[in-house]
Amino acid sequence: MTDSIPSPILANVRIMRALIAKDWRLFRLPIIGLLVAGVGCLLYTGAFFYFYNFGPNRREHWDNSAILVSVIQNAAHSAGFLTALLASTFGGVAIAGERAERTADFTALLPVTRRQVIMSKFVSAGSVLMVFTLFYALIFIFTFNFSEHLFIRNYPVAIWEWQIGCVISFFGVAWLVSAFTTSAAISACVSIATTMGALAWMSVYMETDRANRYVDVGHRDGNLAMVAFTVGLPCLVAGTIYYLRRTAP
Amino acid sequence: MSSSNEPKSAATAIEFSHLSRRFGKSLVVDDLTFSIPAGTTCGFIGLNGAGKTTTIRMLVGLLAPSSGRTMLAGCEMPRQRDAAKRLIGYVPDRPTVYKWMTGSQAIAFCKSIYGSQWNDALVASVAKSLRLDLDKQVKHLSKGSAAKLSLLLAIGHDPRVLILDEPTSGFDVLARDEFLEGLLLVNTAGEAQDRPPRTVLFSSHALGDVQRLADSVAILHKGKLVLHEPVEQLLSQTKRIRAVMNESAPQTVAPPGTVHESRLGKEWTVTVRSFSADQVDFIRGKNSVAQVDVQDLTLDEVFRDYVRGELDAPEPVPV
Repeated sequence: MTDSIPSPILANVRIMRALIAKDWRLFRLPIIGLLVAGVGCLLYTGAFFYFYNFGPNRREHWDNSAILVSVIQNAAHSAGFLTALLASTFGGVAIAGERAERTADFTALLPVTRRQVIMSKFVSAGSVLMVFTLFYALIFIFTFNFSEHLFIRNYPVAIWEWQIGCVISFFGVAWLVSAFTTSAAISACVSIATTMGALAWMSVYMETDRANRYVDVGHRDGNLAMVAFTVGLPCLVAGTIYYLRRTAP
Repeated sequence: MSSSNEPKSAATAIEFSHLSRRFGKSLVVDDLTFSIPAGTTCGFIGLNGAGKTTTIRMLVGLLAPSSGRTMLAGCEMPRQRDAAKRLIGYVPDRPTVYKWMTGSQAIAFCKSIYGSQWNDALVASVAKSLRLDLDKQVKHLSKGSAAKLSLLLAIGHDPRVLILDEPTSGFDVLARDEFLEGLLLVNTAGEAQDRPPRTVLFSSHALGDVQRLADSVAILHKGKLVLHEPVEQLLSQTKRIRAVMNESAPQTVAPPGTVHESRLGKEWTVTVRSFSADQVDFIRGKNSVAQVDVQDLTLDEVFRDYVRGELDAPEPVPV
């Protein structure tokens, strides 16, 4: 008869699969946003390259391959930043969006624990954001040997750090605000304002600080990544602890 | 040895003990104490803003009480809410199911969460009786159909306690009747399987429905419990005494147990609790009356008079 008793691990896997599938559907709009942002940046790249090579004002003497690499990297960089920016909507929709729609009540009354709910949201949002960020970072790595930034050895790593830092910061702040409010839009706006403010502050500091003025691009991106991590991680942890401890869903 | 997080089996399915909830300075639920025996249906009624939804949200663990204690199916809420979730079903005042899901998807989602506890046969039979289109997305369902789907999802795991928070508010007559028939069906479905009857807490403004369904009724007013009694006892013991006065405006002396009194010209009506012939004799003896008759009341009239009596009562002077 013990065969008929479901294993707690299997039951947990079954529940997590259902919750993650539900959360992927919940994040459909931000995912569409990510796709549009990525495609938009690539189209921009293509158009840029086309006009330089085949447009009426094309310049024959230009090194087309260097330009191509440069525009692809710019597109990947822009798309990576837009991915980070859209991470704020993931953070907002995750808790506040569900609360505004009252679907949080529905989930809260199902036999799932808060930890499972949180874990499912992290896995579903994190996996999507990670795939997009990784894709753009890989573009950097593959094109690095052909780029004009070849002399900056840590450039791809710094860019990746910067993108991951921004994703964590935009997502983390939105997640924290989302744990207190019922508006995904407010959560996303606060997150964007906070993260952009912190990045702007660090940029201005690096520009005005004599010691940092002549550091390379890779170093600067690394510094910006550190600021983003410093803002995002505590917010992510605080939001999670608060959500786990509060009674209301 | 049982851990402290395991629910206790109890003859009392729902218990409120000195439950209070404050939002800022506003005391929304004030020292609520009553219990509902297992296997009975309790109608929970009150005016808008009386604190019914807040009480129910505290009961199901969606809201923390400011003070006091709530027990639901042997579990202390919200501390043991994870244990209670498999024992209770909740139908909210408006559907909370994901709007993009179809009925079938919502059922499949709940089934994958509840696992082997999910009762496919019960769900299929109730869905058929409710004539529910399970292929439509929730956002395309009418209010009545969405509420029926909520009921279906709430009973799919065959809960011991079913809590309904104004599920039929805003329904047309037909939709309300269909929903109530579904509720009756759900309640009787388990009896054939030798399962003990479900405990139901049913909050509603439709007092005719409450009178039809409930074994007992609890009236809440301004966060306070005005009464909690079996419906039959309440209706048999609450009467309206209508007296025609001899003179147009003399002082009237109301009998003990008066809930509410009103005067219109020569006609004086007094609603009394714990009705007895002594109260009629009291009215005859202490007042100059030409004629007295005693009327039975519906639950609707009892509720109105109790609430009016509370509204007429002088506010307590703060110490």
